[in-house]
Amino acid sequence: MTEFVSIAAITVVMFLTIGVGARGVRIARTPADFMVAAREVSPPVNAAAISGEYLSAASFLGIAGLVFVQGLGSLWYSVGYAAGYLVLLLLVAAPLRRFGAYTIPDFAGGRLQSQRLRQWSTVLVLIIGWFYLLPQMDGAGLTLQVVLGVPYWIGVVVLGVVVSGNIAMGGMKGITFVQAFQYWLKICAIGIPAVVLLMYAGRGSTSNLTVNGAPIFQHPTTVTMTQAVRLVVKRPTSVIATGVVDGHADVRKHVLLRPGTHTVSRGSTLRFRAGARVPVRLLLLQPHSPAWNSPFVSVGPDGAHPLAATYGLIIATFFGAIGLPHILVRFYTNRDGASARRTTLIVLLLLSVFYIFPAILSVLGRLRAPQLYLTGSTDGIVLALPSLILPGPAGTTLAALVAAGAFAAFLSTSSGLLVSVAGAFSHDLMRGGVRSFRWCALGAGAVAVLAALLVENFSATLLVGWAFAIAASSFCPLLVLGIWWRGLTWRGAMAGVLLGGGGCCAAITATMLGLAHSGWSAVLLSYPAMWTVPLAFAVMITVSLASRHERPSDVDQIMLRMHLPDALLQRTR
Amino acid sequence: MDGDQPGGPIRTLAWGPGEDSLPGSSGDVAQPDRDYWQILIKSLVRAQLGLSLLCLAFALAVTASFPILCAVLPRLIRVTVLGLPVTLIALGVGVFPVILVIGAFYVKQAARLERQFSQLVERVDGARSDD
Repeated sequence: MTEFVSIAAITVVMFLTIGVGARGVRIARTPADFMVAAREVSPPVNAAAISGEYLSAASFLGIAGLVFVQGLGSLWYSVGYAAGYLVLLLLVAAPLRRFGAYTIPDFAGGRLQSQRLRQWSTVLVLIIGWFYLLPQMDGAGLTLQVVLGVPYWIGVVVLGVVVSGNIAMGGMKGITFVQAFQYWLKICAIGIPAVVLLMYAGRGSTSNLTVNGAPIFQHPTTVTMTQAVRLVVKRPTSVIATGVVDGHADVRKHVLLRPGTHTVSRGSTLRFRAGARVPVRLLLLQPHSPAWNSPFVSVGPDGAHPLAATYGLIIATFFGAIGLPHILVRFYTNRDGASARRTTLIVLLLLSVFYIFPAILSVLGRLRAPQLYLTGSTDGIVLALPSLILPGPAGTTLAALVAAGAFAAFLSTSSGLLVSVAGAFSHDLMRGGVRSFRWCALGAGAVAVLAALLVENFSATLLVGWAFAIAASSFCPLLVLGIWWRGLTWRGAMAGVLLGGGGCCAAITATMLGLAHSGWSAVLLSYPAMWTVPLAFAVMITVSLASRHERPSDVDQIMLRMHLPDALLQRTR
Repeated sequence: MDGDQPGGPIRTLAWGPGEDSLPGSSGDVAQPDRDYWQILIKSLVRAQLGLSLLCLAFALAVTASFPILCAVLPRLIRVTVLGLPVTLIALGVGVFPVILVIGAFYVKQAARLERQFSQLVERVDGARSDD
């Protein structure tokens, strides 16, 4: 029954996506149509499309899961994802639209007249695109695994086929309407469950929110293991066990779990009494995280320097949105600079409303379904929550709605990313044109599927956070200085992009390989934005000043075009 | 049609250098005229940048000061309102109205600066053509 409702919901989402996208095929004719929907989208539709594209697996599943596991400090992700659009509005929205570039490499090449800078920007677009694309594929595999019980690869392949096929058919024209539709789908799919569950289970004790470490069972709770799990118990806990615990078969037997690690087999049940501490699954254990209700994020096994790590995350997310490759292209579909500003303001509103709901879900999970600390996975908590809090058909329906929304999140974000990645490939590394764009979309989709099959079990939010860090330390300074400072030269931009972006990529690679585990090295490598962003700005300014004779000759004309009010700009034509 | 073809260095821009006859950029404009346009546009860019940086500084001061505040006053973390920790109220709900208000303020002010600039240009233009 559960599977049936979920399958139905996900299928409906996919067919609506293909259907709305296919309508675009008849309208999309020229390459310009394919790439930017021919600039005829009104601010509210455009804003919904931007938000729909932006709210990815990380926002839909990742944040709530991370807050549930690590604590309220992870809310900085949602704050930063929204505030990134404020920074974008303040620093780049209108001038960038007036400049009229489709992509960041276009901006780099057009503003600074350098083919080499353009090519390196394309390489960075591809790197950021992959970092962002992987967690979407990963999330699709996980979602189908959690709600339908099918193998991981099925979700990955389904998403890859639907997205790349849809883009190859309709390009951006179809996608703009699909994205706008998917924002509203996503806000319903997370908002309705959050509000219903809040009304159903919102009243009662909130003591678990202020407890340090693992929360406490409020009621006698029976937990059924859907897979074999290793648990960490901090204090002696007596349970009634059915199944296999630590290799012993027990049937309805009182078992005392001593402090340490215990293995519970798949299908076993543990019954806890009210007031017992919730054991934590080894996979979700945070060895030295700060208190759950503190505003800091933690890093590494020793949890050193939480304040610095928090500011690293803040810098990456606040300044990363500017440099995301799939976002800039959306600004081109605004009519002029003023409507680009209006669009961004509406985006800010739509995102602010959305990001309230992951917080509600994570708090409800900690209060009313703490058994998820035993059985859940970080990104799977939102999916599992509705049926745990609300038993029966109501919970099943809400769970199906969440699954459909999650799928919409993967569909829309990976569509936008694939358009950017395929566009970058076909524009800058191949001959361009509709046919080449189509093949690049299919090829990029296939590569993303293969990569996602190789890497399983990454936290979506971490990967996406790193994509933001790379964007913040390469494209953010390039765009901000390029728009506001006449003195930027291609040499300065190139040095900044390579040192900032390259340094950030190196730090992330070191983190992924597990090279630094403690102290400052762990903080500086896991949250590199705190040093790579200032580095990129400093290098860009210094090298530009040193090579000031290389300022492009048409810089006055470009500044005029970017900053002249729209009405005057039209008059000068 | 060629202009629509994506690919190549700056062919994907909506415009090409030299395509517009922007004031102050074409060769047949007298030197004083060019200087006058450069000064005008510089003043506009400076005013817009000032507005943006002011809003950015205010937004950062209001939102990003929270962790350092909690680091200095650790007792703040344990404050609860109706049983909800202050971190949840600040980061889960509180910051969003703040950034929305700053954004709305900026959009209004930026449009006002542009209007003022347009009026100035028209007045100066009118005065110059009367000469």
